[in-house]
Amino acid sequence: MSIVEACGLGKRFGRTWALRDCTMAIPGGHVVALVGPNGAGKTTLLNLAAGLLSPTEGSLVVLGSERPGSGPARNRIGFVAQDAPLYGYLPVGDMLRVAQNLNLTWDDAKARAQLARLGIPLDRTVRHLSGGQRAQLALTIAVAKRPELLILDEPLAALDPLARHNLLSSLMATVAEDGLSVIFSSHVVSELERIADYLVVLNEGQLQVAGQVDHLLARHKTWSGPSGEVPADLQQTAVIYARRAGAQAHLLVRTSGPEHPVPEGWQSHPASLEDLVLGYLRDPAAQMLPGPATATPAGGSAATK
Amino acid sequence: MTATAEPAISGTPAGKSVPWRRLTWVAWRQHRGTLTVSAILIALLAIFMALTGVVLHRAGNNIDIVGPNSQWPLYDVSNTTLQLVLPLIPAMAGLFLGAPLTAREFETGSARFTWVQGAGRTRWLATTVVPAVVLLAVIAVGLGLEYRWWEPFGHGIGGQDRWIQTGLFGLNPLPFVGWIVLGFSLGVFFGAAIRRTVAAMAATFASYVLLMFEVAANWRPFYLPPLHRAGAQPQFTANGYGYSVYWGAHYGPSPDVLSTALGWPGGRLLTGRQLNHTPAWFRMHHIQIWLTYQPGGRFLLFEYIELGWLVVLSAILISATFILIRRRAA
Repeated sequence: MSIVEACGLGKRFGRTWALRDCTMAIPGGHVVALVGPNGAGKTTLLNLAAGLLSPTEGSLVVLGSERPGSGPARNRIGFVAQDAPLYGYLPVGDMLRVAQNLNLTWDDAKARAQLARLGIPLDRTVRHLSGGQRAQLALTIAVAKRPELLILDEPLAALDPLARHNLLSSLMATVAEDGLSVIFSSHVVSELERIADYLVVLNEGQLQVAGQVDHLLARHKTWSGPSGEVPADLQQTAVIYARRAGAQAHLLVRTSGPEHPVPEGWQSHPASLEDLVLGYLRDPAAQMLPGPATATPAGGSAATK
Repeated sequence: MTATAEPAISGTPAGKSVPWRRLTWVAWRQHRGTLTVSAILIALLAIFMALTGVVLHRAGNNIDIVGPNSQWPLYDVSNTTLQLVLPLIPAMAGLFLGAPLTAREFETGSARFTWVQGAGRTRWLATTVVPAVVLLAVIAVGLGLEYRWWEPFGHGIGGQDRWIQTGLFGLNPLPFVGWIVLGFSLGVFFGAAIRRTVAAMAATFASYVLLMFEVAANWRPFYLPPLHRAGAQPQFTANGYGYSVYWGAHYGPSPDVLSTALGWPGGRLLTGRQLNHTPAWFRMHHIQIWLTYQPGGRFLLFEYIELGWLVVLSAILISATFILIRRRAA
């Protein structure tokens, strides 16, 4: 079952397309990192999946065949919007009770135990919580409704490193306990590798990369070699990004597999997820999408760039 | 663990909706501060009317008498106060209950929390708006009846002089229900349309006040075509003519005289040029005073008419609010 399935999805605000021609199917059971620069369309895509926005064109279904925003979809999705909006004037305990009464399913014991573990007092008003506590509360509420899919929009934004670490730990524990699928958007690329096992990269409103992290990392390498000349056999390799540092050149390349030949005089290193994400973000024309319908030829970028 | 309204439930029951009573609790918890303050203010007003009303009713006709025992100053001050405060209550319902109810959800972003929960935005709005409308209608009936009882002279809203052409007609229980529901509906609608609390409050107040005066001046006197009736002969003086309106024998409730003018016995009114003729010409042609009026028997009907269109307009505004909330991005 796909947790999010989009076909030609587009969303326009006024004359500006925030998202365009987005076709993908994200399988369930993954922690999906949705990455992209500011204005890439991440929040738009997540708000569409949560049912807060309606598409301008194309179609989108969640959790198999549910229409986003429909009753069944709302019951099965936990959503934490950007900045974790809650009722600031309510005490935490009342905030929990409001959320409980707005949902059909609710695990109150778990929610309260989680807040106790985090040291968030129930009698403190939400507006007096720190940014990290507020994000934790929003996550606790989203999880307490026992969703099958958790959607988090920039949950790490504006959090200090410790709060970020704590939130990710909570998220990982939840995934391990409940086995739910998660989609979260983030700017903090360095943190992704710890938690995400599926990557979606959006850039300028277009889908650029989608696939399992292991698979993507297995296909991408960082090559280092002399910058003076470009080997002839490099022309057969998709170069996603090239960087020169003095006499050395560093390339992010997409290979055909482990047996892909490395040019003579060049060294191959495993690419990190951060390398991969940054490499694609620097070249919006490069794409790597799964499936025969959406796969595109490698890179499109000239090896000499 | 603190006990809560519902036990933990495992799994999502297919095809079920969140029970209304649970959503009503949410609405109460969200707005109980505003509702408590509003209830206190309404209670103070009701107590003020009750206390002054008892004193004035005991004084009876002594209210009009000038002297040491006269209650006229109490009547004058309290009536002026009530005539200022009561017509503004519907506007206040829109300003402080209606407009923030929707606008604040957008402004603070909490709509992005509430509307993605299992209950959904439509049911959330319904459980917030419908109980508020019912509550306000009950308050309006109560205050309207109390003010009608309070009025010791029998003029004003329910007595000899019905004042259809003033805003006080709206204080009768039936129209008062309509006005208070309309004020709230305006607030809810502008809150959803403008999505900024202060701007929505300003739009609500401006539109309510404009409508209130427009209705009193130009709509209400013409809910039904007014009637015309010959009054008396004009009284002539050395400097010209003058007349005073009299109704003659009373048949049932007093009418509301909208205008008086001189006209021919057949009812056709004099033109501007004809008005410059001499008194002798007026006498010779049996010129009469013609009254344009709404008969007193229509008073209750006018209350129903005003309640009706106010409720219809409120229903349109609330429906438009539902459409806006359903379609607009959070």
